[in-house]
Amino acid sequence: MSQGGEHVDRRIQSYLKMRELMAIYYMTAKNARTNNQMVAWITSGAPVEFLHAMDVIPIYPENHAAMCATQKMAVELEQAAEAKGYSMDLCSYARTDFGQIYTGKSPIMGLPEPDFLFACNNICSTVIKWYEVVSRIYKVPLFVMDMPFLHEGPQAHILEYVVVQMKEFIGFLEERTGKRFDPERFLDVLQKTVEATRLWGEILGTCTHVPAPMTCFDAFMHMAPIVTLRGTQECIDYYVLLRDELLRRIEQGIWAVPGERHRLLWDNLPIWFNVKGLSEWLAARNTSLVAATYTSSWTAIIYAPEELEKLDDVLHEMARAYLTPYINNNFASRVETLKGMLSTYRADGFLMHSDRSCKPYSLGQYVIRDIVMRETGIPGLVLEADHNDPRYYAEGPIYNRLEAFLESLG
Amino acid sequence: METQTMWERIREIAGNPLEQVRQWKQRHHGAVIGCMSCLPYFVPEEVIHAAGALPVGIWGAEIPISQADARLQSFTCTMARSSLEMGLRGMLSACDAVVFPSTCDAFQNLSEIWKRSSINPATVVNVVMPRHTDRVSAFHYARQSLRGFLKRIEQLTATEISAEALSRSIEIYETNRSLLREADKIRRSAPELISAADMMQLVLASTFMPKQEHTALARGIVEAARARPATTGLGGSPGVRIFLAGVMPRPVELLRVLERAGVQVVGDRLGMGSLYYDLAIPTEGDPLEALARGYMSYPPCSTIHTQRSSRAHDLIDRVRESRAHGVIILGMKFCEPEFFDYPDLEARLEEAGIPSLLIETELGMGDVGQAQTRLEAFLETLQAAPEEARR
Repeated sequence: MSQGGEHVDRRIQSYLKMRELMAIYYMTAKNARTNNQMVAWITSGAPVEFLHAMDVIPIYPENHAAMCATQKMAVELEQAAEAKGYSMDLCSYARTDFGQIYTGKSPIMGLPEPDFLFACNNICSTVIKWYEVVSRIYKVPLFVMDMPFLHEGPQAHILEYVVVQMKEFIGFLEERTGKRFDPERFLDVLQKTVEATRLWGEILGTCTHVPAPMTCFDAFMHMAPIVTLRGTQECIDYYVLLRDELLRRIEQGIWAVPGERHRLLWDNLPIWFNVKGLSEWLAARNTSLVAATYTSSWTAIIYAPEELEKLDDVLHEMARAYLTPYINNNFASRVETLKGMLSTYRADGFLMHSDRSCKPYSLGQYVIRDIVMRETGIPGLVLEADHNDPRYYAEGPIYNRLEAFLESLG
Repeated sequence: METQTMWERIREIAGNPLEQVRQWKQRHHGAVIGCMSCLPYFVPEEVIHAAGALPVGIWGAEIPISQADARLQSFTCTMARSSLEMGLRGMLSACDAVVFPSTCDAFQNLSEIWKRSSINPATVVNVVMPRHTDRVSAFHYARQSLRGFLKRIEQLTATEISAEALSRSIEIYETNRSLLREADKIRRSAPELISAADMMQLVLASTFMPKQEHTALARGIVEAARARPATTGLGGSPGVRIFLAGVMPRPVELLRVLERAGVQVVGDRLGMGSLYYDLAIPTEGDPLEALARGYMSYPPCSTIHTQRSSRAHDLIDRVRESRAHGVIILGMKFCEPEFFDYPDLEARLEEAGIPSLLIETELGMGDVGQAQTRLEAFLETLQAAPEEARR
């Protein structure tokens, strides 16, 4: 198979299409008021399908905060939040978001104001506190959907609790929007989510190919639609385009990292402000990041609503899917996921980003690393950093440790 | 018993809980269940009590952290880090199990770390309560979650917990809480009788020792205080009156700073304080349902979402009730739920004309020098204010 010469353009062509898609999405959201549409701010792991079914435009402050970091605007916004009394120890996404509210600054000149807020703690409890602050600032209601941490798996009473809350949320939405909930419309949205998550799984799966046609750094960029647009046709169309491009790359032998020697797995959020830097640094050392527990979190949402006639059964399956992301699950499940991914993606090492701003993802990584290393013999390295605050990122020491780690891989 | 003797006993137990736990175990041969306790009402202790076991609060410790650092990052609160350190050092080996409530993300993950760290006790019980309390779904889930907890405790202690036994335990706990509330009232009107350190030790001892024994001591203390004429009190207390908010009145060195400055602590909204006893569990009807109802009506706190009442309003009401001149917020560093609330609390207090000071605390922080300087400066501004302005 060809390794691809230096003349090959390795950039993923679909990227431009995605940027266009995201630009349209934010433009529509910013014009919501003129178009008489409601806007809800929503956490990245929340069941957004209810909003689409009720014609409410979902806005994801997490995605927006990440965008601020990749555009090198995060520190300025975080400082604006700190000036209002928010501690530097608080989640850097939240601080970035408060900063864009206070200053109106961001790559898209700030987010459109919310009509209401929807927070789901299947990714962390931080989002509840964060959204409480936003709720006080804008004086808008906040709906909290509680997804208990699964110390012992998705037990029946937990599933039931989430299903009941989904029904409460339907009531909340009907009251807010003045519209009736249409189950058929809802099922249609859900089908689109299922299709998009399936495609996203296929896209990430292309990296099981040795060498990989893209890296996880690409996936970090291309995950924006699965986060913000799942449940829409645009999302499906985009991921068909991306998947086909990646399959073509495999056929044509275009690899993300020429002369790929090492294949690593990534755990936790990316370091958003240094995605490009770290990507190039690893590529220069013939190393591909081939998978991440983070990007894979949006593939777990698999259910088959077309086979389910009763709305209750649909909600039940949905509850199961939304309760079980990597980060809402116990360590036994995390260890199994990591081991499975290391084997599926034929990785020879793993990097764990110990993220100061994400306790539920980070606390315990040292223990998990030891177990996975012992049980697989595959080495892992923990890197202390932060996903959105460059002031907690010491590049020199990180690259030194990475250099030593790569050498140890041979 | 003399009041002085009763206080000595309280201090002895609060200062060395492990010793009396060992003694209890020798005498009763019962199970000892550690309860992670930074916001302690997440652990339904009544259920443990009803099984004939001894629930014992684990509040971290002011010890240097070394072994825990290999397992838990330093950007975690010292409550979690020092509790893990206690476990790794074998300091909690008198416990047969540890209960981890779902207070915050750090506790939740710490319980998973604990399960894989060869700690004695190795047995971990999780109790995951609802994160919000406004909707009926939360009530039903709370009841289910409590039922699961009860089954687990039954299994651990090999004891069947009857509804009667649980109801009786709830009554015993209610009596104890009402006495702690009484003690709180006494310090409001006669703060020279019960200092902040006394109140903290009274609460701590309540989480360490058999409930009825504590109740006997607390009753004695409260009755003796009632009998004594207050020397100052509401009429003309000369000192500055302070209200404490946050998680814990620790490190204890900070309380000594307050004492030396001659200020009187007249109330608190602390996890290691009024949040432990300022709640009411119905003593009638189905006991599990009563515990669930109690949970749903807890005072506003940073880890439970509710739109029924606001933490700022609750705090301001209580500060006014206690006629405090200012509020000191003791924020445990890296406590995310708490620090998200503080800017709003500070702003609301300012609007209400109540001066406040936020101090970052850590258990085992070697040097309180900087905090001390800020505390003293704050107290000076309060002392300098004319008496009318303080009110």
